[in-house]
Amino acid sequence: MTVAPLVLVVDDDPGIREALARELRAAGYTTAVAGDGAAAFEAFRAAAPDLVLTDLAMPVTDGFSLISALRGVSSTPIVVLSVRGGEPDKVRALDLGADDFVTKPFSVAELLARVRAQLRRNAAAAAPAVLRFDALTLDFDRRRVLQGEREVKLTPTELGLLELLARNAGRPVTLDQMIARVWKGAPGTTNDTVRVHVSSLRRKLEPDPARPHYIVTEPWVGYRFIAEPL
Amino acid sequence: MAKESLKSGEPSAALASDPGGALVHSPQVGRRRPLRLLLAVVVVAAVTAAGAALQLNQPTMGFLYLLVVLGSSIWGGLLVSMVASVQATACYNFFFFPPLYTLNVEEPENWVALGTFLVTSIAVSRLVVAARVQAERAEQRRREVEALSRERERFLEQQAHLQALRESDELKTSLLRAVSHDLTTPLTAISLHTQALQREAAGSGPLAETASSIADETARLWRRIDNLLAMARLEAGHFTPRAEPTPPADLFRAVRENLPLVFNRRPVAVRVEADCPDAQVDPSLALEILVNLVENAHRAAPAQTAIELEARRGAGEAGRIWLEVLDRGPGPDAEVIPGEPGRAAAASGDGSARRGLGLEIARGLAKASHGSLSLVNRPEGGAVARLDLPAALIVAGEEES
Repeated sequence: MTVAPLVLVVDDDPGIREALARELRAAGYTTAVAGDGAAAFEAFRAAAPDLVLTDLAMPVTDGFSLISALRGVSSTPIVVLSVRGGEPDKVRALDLGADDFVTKPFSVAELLARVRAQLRRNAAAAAPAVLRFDALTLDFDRRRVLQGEREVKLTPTELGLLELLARNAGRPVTLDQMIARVWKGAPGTTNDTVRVHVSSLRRKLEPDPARPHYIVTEPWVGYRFIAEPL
Repeated sequence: MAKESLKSGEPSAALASDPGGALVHSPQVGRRRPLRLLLAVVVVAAVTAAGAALQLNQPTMGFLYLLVVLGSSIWGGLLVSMVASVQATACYNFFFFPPLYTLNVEEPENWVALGTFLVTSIAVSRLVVAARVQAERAEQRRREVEALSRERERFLEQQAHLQALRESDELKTSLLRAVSHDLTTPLTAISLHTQALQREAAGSGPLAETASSIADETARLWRRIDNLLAMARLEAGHFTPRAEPTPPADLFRAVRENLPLVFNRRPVAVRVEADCPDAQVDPSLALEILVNLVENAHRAAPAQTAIELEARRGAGEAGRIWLEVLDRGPGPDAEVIPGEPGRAAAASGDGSARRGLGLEIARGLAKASHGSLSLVNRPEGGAVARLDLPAALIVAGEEES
């Protein structure tokens, strides 16, 4: 990438806003800042950033309104800053169209990793038929999953779940999104249904049950595929 | 129906539910009716005797009898006054209309007089009784309205009380939220600035160490604040854990992310047994408990010795899962009884390393998670902090093939 990506940082606290912007600039991004949702929307129109990093609780126009407004006009990645215990807010933000969240206190390294993952996802907009992650190859056209040379036998539901998660690698997928996409919202499909299938999928995929390598639980939110695509 | 209830003297005949109106009687009247009946009969007889003795004329007697009927309808109710009416008519005829001392009546105008007397006395009875029933109903309604109004006042009082409770609850919640926000906002900024400092100071020796210490202490402060807020929420009594099936491996992973310093400075082994079920627990509570236990183990254990995290099916009662933090620090010597905060650990020789807010909070949070926490000696030296939690009921079974 020749031009440094532009990140719009939205937080009502000037200290956090400026510190975040400084860390992003140190990591090679250019930044724009805004103190609330309305100002952020204006800044978005003016600067057309590559990614928006926003707090949720803000005076005047909060982060949720900003996400809705942005999703009305753009698919630019949105990463949300949330607090411990704010899971309902996370789910709401994700369902409104946010792409990811980081929970305070976060490390700058973690934040930068999330930002990188979102920018990369946005760059690779097309959905390839084959996805590769270190030891794992997912061939969706031929409906085959290979771990090294060994084929992993998955049920159609498990394959559907894996495809949804892997195509959103690095990004949290909410339980509602999973029910809507994999089960097509079939009545009687509950969060427990999803958990049973994910659990079975994990047992087939994860080499060490103590150290999940591919799929991790996002408490109260859903799941995240954590391996990075090659 | 009304007549039957009259005859049977049922005192329970409800005032308000009888459409017969005049036939309605009050329970008091019902209980004393035989006495009043007797009294009416005696009075009619006495008036008759007095009239006969004084040889009073027919019109005078008629009015006297009417007075008696009137009185009996006021004091005795409808049945008594009816009986009095009939008895008075009979006596009137027997003693005062020719031929005397028979019930025969010769003159047609006497028939008219007697008939008129009977009809009048019955009509008077009914009117009086109806008026009295109306009065009693009004009184009853007044009492009902009074009762309702007392009820309403009590309800309003309770409402106000509930409202006050709710408001104090809301106050606590918003106070906690504000405290949480006001503490975490500067901490977030401090943590960002510290990380910038660490980045700038990288490789510069003492400055880098200082920056790293600030980062450590900031992280610790953050955890203490989380602890205190969690405890405040528990004590405020409006904290409802939201349990969900939580894989132990995910919890251990989150512990690692929360305590990078511990994990960077000493070996940490993680084991999840193959048949270990998920825990049915609020993940944030479980994480906070485990972070406290690992921190505690880190403080107590000698440098470079390993800390082990283990998850397995509970060996005691069915449907439990054990999450254990094992270290090589001094053991607590005595088992800490769940729910007896830290007494045994504090009493032990070298228990000081095991004390502290962290363990207290962990115990409180374990209890709030329908679990328990025990700290026991490891046979080969060291301590095991065991978090006993309910296991998730759903089993990950194979489905469609």
